[in-house]
Amino acid sequence: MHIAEGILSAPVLMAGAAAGAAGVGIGLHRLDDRSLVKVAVLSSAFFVASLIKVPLGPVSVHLILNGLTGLLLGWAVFPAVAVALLLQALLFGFGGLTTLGVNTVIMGLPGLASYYLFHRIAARSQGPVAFMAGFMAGAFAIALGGLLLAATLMSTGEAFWNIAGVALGAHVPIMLVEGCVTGSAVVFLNKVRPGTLCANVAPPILEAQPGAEPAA
Amino acid sequence: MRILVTGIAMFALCVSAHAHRLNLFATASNGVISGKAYFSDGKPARGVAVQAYDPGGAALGETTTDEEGRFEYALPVTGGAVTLKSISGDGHAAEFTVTPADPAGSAAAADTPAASGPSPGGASAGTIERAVDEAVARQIRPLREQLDAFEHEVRFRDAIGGVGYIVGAVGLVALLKARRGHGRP
Repeated sequence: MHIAEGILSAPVLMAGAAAGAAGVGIGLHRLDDRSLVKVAVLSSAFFVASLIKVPLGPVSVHLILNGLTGLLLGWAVFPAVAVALLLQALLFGFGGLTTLGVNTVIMGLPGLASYYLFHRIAARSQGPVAFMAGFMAGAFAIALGGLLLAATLMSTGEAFWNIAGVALGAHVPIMLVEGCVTGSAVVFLNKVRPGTLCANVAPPILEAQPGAEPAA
Repeated sequence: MRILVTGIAMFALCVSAHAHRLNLFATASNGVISGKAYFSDGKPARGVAVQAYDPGGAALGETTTDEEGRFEYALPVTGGAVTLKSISGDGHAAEFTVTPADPAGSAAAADTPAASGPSPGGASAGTIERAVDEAVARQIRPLREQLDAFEHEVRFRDAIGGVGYIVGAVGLVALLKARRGHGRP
C-alpha cells in the first residue's frame, strides 16, 4: 500500500503531507505518558509487519496491521504509522520521503476509522464477539486503505475502479489474515490484560479534559 | 458462483500487486535492451509498462513486461544512456538507467568495426573484441541480476535497526516529558 516517489503530483503530495502532519499533531497532543510505550510497541509491530510473509497457498502475503494499531491507539495511530513508514522508507526503500504524508493518511486514517467503529465493542466483549470485532477492524482497515489508495492514484489519471479493483483484489487474502490476527490479538489482550483497549488516548474530548487538565 | 470465479480470477491476476517495492533491471547488448521487473519479494511484475527516456528526458518508446516480468526494447541509435521507468497501476514505480559504458559501449563497438573494417582476414581485432565483450556481458548478466536483487533485499539487521530507532525515539520523548514534568510542581 506504499505509494512510491515520482508518481503523484506536487499538490496531492502537499495535501497528503498537510493531512498527515495534522493527524500526527492531534495524535501527539492527545497522547498521555502511560500510552507512550504502547505506541512504541505498535509502531515497531507495524514497521516489522511488512516483512512477515504469510504463506497462503500459492501466494505469500504480508501483514500491514493498521487495523490493530488503530484499534489500540486511537488518534495516536498517526504518529505510530508515520514513524514506522519513515523508517520503512529509509531502511527498506518502501514508499518514499515525499510520499510519507500521503502514505501516513492512507494507512493511518483507516486505523482511526476502525478505532471509532469497533473499539467500543472490542473493549467490552469477550470470546467470539471480541474476535469478530477485532476481525472486522482488521479487515475494514485494509479495505478502506485500498480505497484511499485508489482515490489517491486517481489523481494520476487512472480510472478509480481499475485501481480499486486491483488494490482490493490483491488485498482480499490480507484482509482475511489481518482480520484473524487482529481478532486473536483482541481476544488475547482482553483475557490477559483487560483494560488495554479501554485505558487509552481518550477519544471523546469531554471525558478527557477533566482528567487530563491537572496532569498536564 | 460467478462472483466467486471472478474473485478467484481477479485474485490470480493481481497476486503480485501487494508487494512493497517494484524493481527494474536491464542490460543491453546486440542493440537490444533486455531486462526484467520484479517486486521486492522476488515475484515477477507481469504486464507492467516500461517507458524508455533519453538523457534529456524525452520519451523514446514503451514496452510491456511478459509473464515472467521480462521485457526487451530495441536500443535507440542515439547511443547515449537510456533511462527506463516503470509505473504499475497500484502506486509502485521504479527507474533504472542503462549507462552507455556497459550496453551502448558494446553497441558502439558493434557499429564501428562493421562500418570501418571489413578486413579480408575474417576475424579482425574489432570483431574479436566485440565477440569477447558480448560473451563476457552474457556470462556476467546473471551475476549482475543477483547483485541487483541482493542490493534491494531487505535484511534482518535493517529491521532490528528500525525497531532500535523507535525504542530510542520513545526514550527521548519520555525523557523530554519527564524533564518538563520536573519543572512544574
